[in-house]
Amino acid sequence: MIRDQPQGADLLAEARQVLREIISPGLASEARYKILMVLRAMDLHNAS
Amino acid sequence: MSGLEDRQQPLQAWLTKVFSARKVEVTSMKPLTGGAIQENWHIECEFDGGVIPGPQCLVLRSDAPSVIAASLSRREEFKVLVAVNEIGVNVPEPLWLCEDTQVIGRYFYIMRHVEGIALGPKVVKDQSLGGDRKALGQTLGRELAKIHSIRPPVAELDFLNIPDAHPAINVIASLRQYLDEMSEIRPALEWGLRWAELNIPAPQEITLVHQDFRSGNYLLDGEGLNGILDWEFTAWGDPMSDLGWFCAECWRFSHPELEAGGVSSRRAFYEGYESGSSISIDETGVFFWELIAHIRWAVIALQQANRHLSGTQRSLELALTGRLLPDLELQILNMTSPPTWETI
Repeated sequence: MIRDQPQGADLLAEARQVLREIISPGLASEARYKILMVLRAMDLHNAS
Repeated sequence: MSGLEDRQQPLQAWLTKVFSARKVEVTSMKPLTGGAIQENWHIECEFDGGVIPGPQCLVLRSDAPSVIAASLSRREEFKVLVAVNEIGVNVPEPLWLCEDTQVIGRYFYIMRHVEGIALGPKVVKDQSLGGDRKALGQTLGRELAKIHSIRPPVAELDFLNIPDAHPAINVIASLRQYLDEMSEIRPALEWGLRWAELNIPAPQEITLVHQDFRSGNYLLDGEGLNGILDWEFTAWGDPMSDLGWFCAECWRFSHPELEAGGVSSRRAFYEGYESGSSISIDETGVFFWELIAHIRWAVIALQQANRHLSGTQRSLELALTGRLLPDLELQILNMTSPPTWETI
């Protein structure tokens, strides 16, 4: 049986949090701007 | 965005020549973010003698791989920048235009680099930027009044067409044409255009208009305004159109309650404008242009998304811009809904 927990949406939420709270603050403004766009794209994907 | 790093030698040679230096060494070249339509590079260099000796921070602005039809050429944009700089509008000083494609492969111009943050959401959210926000709103109003003090004809700006009809009629026609040329069918935008057609405001005296004067296109530091950017859509037009664009809800980001660009009250912005202008603000006209702002931004968003989707310029930023459309369409419907809709 294929293990499917945690599910994709939960993993994506965790990944989002890592990007936003751990990786993004340490980046230069240009890279942070790009990370914010990636987060926005992840939000849109989740909502669709 | 690539290739400029390979053009360091011809760029140095060109800078040496036009600034009458003995030698110029480019020590750093980095692309700047925020230019969805044009490319901007931050260039640090050392001038040995010449017109601007010593270390200099400059910006090189060139065409991007694909352009939006309505935007000015780099030559035209440079001339606009010179014209507004001459009357004291707060802009990065324009220095030199290059139309020799041997240098970097396309036209570009050089201006002084100005420190500051321009990114709209940050400018609106970060209260440590821009100093006192009421004063900032007034300053932005005064700067816009200076721009609107330029009236046609101006020989140096003879490439700008003087409207032969009410600018609103021309804008509606051109937006409708853009929509017709796209395969997308957007009923809310068509509805908004029809509403606009039926509610054209009283004509104003024609002035120079920036056409993209909004939070996101000016630089702030901790003290206040450092420079107004992105003059590529400048034209002769209705001055109320710039006020409407600046105040439109789509440019207020996280502070929709601050009606002047998300940074101050509308009143503060208007006070600044009227203190520096002979033009009285027509609030009906501003509302009309706020609606047009939403439609225009929606059309630009469609165009930018198409640049990504067509493969002309793959970009996450362009792709995400396309996803702004539903919110813009909702705002258009909210602004134009007849009272009877509330009872349905």
